[in-house]
Amino acid sequence: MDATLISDAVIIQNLLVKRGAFALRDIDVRVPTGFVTGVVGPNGAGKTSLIKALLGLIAPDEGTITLFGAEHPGNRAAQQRIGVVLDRVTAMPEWHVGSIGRRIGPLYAEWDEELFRGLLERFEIPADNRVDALSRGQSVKLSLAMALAHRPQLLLLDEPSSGLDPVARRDLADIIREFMVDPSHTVLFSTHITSELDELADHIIVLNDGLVAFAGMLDELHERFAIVRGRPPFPDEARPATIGLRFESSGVYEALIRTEDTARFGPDTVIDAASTDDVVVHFAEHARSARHSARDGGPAAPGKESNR
Amino acid sequence: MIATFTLFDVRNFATTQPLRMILPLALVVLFGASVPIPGAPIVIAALIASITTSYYFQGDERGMLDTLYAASSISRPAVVIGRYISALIFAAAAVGLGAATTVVMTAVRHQSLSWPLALGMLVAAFGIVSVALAVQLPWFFALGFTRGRPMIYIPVGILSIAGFVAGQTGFLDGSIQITSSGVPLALVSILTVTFC
Repeated sequence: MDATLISDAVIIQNLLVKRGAFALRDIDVRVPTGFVTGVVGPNGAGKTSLIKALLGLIAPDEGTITLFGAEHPGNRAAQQRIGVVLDRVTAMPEWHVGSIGRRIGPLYAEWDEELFRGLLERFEIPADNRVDALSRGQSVKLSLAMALAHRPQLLLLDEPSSGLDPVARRDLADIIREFMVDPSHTVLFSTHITSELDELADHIIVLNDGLVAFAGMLDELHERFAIVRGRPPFPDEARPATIGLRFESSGVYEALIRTEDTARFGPDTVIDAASTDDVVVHFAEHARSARHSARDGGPAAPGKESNR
Repeated sequence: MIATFTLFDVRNFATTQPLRMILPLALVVLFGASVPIPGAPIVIAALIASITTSYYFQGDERGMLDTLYAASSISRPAVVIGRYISALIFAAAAVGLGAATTVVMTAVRHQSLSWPLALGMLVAAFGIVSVALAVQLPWFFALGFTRGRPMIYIPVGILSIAGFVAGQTGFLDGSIQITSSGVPLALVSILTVTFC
């Protein structure tokens, strides 16, 4: 796909966000309009920090975030076009579901109470229930109803399917697909469940240890990486080409490699297409080895890939 | 936007956990009926109102309302100014109730109300609320409720100690004597409001 033809809902440039000992750094990514972008990475990779920075809840230490062409945070017009679904409902636990629209509606310029009521009915959320009496699945659906009722163009979801049963997860995927019928809509969601990415995402950002390991279309991720497996001895000359080299208990080694490096490995190795899961796992492994090497005084250089 | 947020904030404070509003106001009245010092409920109301300011921020954390504000049409300056106004509205209601209690109890006890003293109490109440809000709100906005929690007690504690010392050393009007029952009652009330 020609990247120059795609407009971007979000452009993040050289972002640095420090959170105690952790830092989200050198973040240079774009979220294309009209696509579902998945942010994936292991726990602690920086997914939530990235979403909070996009919302303006964390001030960047360096770099810029551009939202719908306007510098952010600080641009209310751009901010109003975001709908947010976080791990918890943004409502007081004592509120009754049916009263939420009346309470928070005035805070939004384009709140549609009729749409909100309709979504509650469709999602089968009882209006007379208190927020703290809802199940996890109902809470996510309530958050979605609240996010969609002010007609956003960008939907930000932070691990929305975490803790959901398969039926609720399927419902969530259906709602996201329905939202994406409008080509001006964009979704950015974080997850550590890679099967969701394969099912929903067009574009992917792999975060690892606060760095972007890969950013690009999902198809390109599968084209760009491969998995190599073989029996020791491991060819030392091929070591720089590997990402997250692991030795299994059976003695077989496994590593992620870039597809252009396949020629470095001999005929006694097996090279397969890498799944999204493989990429996430091996980048995490690579970062862990790099941390250990740095602690022991050796070189440390986690890989980074980006097509945009 | 400021008015919209203030309305939301006051309504949320008053209706989400009504006991948190009713109990402090009830304590103001309780003081009026218990402490035989004309005008004392006015100052006590200001101290109680200063403690309850933190409730707004506690609500923000419990309901993740900061995130709600961040993704709404309300600007951050409107949230900050609106929060100051909400806190002032509650303080005004508490001090107003303290003043009404003073007037009613003075009549019930067949005492004469010294208007200069009552005015002095109102000025003191205004000073207490102003100092507390000026110190507490920036702190809570920066740190949130949980991390900023010690600031609930610090302004009120300092002001209470300063007032007590000033009273005992005769710095204030010597005609006012602190009764033996007044100090423990004040402490119990402040602790009740703090931990409820």
